[in-house]
Amino acid sequence: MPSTAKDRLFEVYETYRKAKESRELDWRDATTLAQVQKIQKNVVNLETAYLKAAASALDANGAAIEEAYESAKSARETMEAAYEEAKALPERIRAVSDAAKKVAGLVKKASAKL
Amino acid sequence: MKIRAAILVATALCSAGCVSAPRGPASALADMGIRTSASLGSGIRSTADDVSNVGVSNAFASTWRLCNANPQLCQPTQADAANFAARQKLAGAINLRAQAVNALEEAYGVLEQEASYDAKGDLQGAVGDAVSAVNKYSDFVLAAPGGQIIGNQAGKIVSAVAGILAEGRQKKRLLEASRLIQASATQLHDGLKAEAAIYESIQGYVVDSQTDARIALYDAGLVSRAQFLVPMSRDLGVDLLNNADRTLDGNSPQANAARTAVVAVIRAEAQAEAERVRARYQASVAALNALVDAHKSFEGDQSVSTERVSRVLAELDAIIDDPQAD
Repeated sequence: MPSTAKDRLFEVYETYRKAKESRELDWRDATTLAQVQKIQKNVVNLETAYLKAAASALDANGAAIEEAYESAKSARETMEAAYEEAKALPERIRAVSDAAKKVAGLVKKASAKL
Repeated sequence: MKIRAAILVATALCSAGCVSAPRGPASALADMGIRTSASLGSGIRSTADDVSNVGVSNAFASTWRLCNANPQLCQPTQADAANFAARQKLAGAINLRAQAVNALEEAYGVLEQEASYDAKGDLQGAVGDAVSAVNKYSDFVLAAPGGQIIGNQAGKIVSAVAGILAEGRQKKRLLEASRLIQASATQLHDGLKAEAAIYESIQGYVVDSQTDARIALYDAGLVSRAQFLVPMSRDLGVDLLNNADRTLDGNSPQANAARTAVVAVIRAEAQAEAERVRARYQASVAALNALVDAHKSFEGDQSVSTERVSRVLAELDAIIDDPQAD
C-alpha cells in the first residue's frame, strides 16, 4: 500500500525526534568542536525538513515519492541501529547525516509547494 | 449573561411565519458565530505563536544539553537562517487560518449589529473580507492530506448579491449575508477537517519541544522544581510542603529519586497536553459544523436553535479551562 501524506509527515518527524533524543549521547562522545557542530547541524536540518514538510503538507504522490519515502525510512532504521549497536561516534554522525539528507529529499519530492 | 441566553432561546421561536426581518434569529446566529470564531481564533493564534517561540526555547535546551554533556566543548548552539525561515513560513501558514477566522468574526459582528440594533453596518465589506480571507487560507489547505478542491463559489456570490447587501430590504439582506457567511464557514470547516492530521502533528511538535525545554530548565535548577507537582498534588487533594523545592534540590538518594519522578510527571503532563490540544481542535471543527447547520436552519425557515452550538462550545470551554493546562 502506498504511503499517505500523514505517513510521510510522521516519518520526517520521527527521524527528527530520534536524532534530537540521541544528540546528548553524541555530544558526550565528541572530542572536537567540528563534531559538536556537525551533530547540532544534523538535528537542525532535520527540524527544518519537518517545518517545511508541515507547511507544504506533503500532498504529492507517485512512484518517485514512494522511493524517497522508503529510502528515508531505511535511513532512519540505519540511524536507529547505529545507536542500538553502540557504533562509534563518526559512524553515528554519518548515519544521522544520511537520514537528514534522505528526509530532505523526501520533503522536496513530496511537497506540492515549498 | 443569563438574560442574554434567555433572549437567544426566545429567538428560536421565530419560524417560517416571520414576515418582517428575522432580526432575533439572525442575532442569535451572529452571537454563536462570534463565540465560535473567537474560540477557534484564539487556539489557532496560540499555535502559531508557539511554533515561532520554539526556536528560542530550543536554543536554551540544546545549549544546556551540550554543555551539560560535554563542558569542555560548551558553546551556544543555535539554528541557522534556513531553519528560521522554515519556522516563520509555517507560523505564517497557520496564521492564515487566524486571519480567516478573524474576518469571519468581523462578519458575524456586523451581522449582529444590524440584527440586534437595526444599525446598518458595512455588511457587504465585512462579508467580502471574510470570503476573501477564507479563500486565501484554502489555497494552503488544498495541499493537505485528504484535502479537497474547494471552489471559489462564495467569491462569485459576493459580487452577484452585492447590490442586495448594500440596498436590499433588511430581511433579504440578513438572509443573503447568512448565505455568504455560511459558504465561508463551510469552506473553513472543510479545510480544518481535511488538515487535522497535519495540525495534530504540528501541535505534537510544539508540545515535545516545550517539554524538552521545561526539562532542561528543570535539570539546570533554574526554575522551581516543586511547581511541576502542583497540578498533580491538587488532583490528589494533598498539599505540597513549603520546602518541597529544598527537598528536591538535595543530594540524598531520596532527593535523586524525587527529581527523576518529577521528570516523569513532566512527561506524563506533556502527553495529557497533547491529547488536550487534539481534543480542542476536534471540538472547534465540531462547533463550526454545528454553526453551519444553524445557518441552514436560519436560511430555511428563519429559525435558529442555539442548543447544539452552545453544547459544543461548552465542551470546548471545558477543555480550555482544564486545570491540567495551568
